[in-house]
Amino acid sequence: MAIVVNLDVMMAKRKISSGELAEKIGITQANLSILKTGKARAIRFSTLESICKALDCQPADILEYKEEE
Amino acid sequence: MLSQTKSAKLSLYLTDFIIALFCAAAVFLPRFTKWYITYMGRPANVRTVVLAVCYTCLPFALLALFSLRQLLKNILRGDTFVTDNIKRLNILFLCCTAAAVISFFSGYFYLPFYIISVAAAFFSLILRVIKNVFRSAIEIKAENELTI
Repeated sequence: MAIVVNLDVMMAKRKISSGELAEKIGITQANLSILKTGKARAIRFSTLESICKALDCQPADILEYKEEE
Repeated sequence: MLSQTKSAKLSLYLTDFIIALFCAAAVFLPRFTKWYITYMGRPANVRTVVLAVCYTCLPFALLALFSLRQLLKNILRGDTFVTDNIKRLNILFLCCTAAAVISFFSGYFYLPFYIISVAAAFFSLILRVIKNVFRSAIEIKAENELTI
């Protein structure tokens, strides 16, 4: 997919574990894993807001557009 | 009003009952047709046609009933919108179409089979539409599940 999720990069920068982040944003670890691996088809604004709040970052730090070859 | 589980269970029991009824009909069909010919005053060759059509359609009917049974079992398990159910509906559609085709050609020998043919064709059309609905529902479900 052209949209790349850089959640793991941000998590590493903030030194936060999956379990901790999942608890903070109120989603299951399984759903967080779907998001991290780029299997998700869509992300709710509310989830994005919670992630940005928990990681103290901007949506652009998590989502990136890359041209498909 | 019945709950969803109770309703599905009732449908499952009814399917089992109809499977048993079809098996019994398969055994007693020669006797039934003999009675039909004698008491309804139909020509003797009609019996052969009815027997041939019924025994040709019986495997399709049983296959459809067992597919229906599996479909209901999936629904009872909570797996309603899964690919397996599309496969089951497709089998049901093909069985109905086969019955429609067989009845259509048998109508040449015994006219009332045309009515059965039209009914079976109508059912197969409905099943095809239901199959399309299930396919869309599976796509929507997957989309919903992968929206975080």
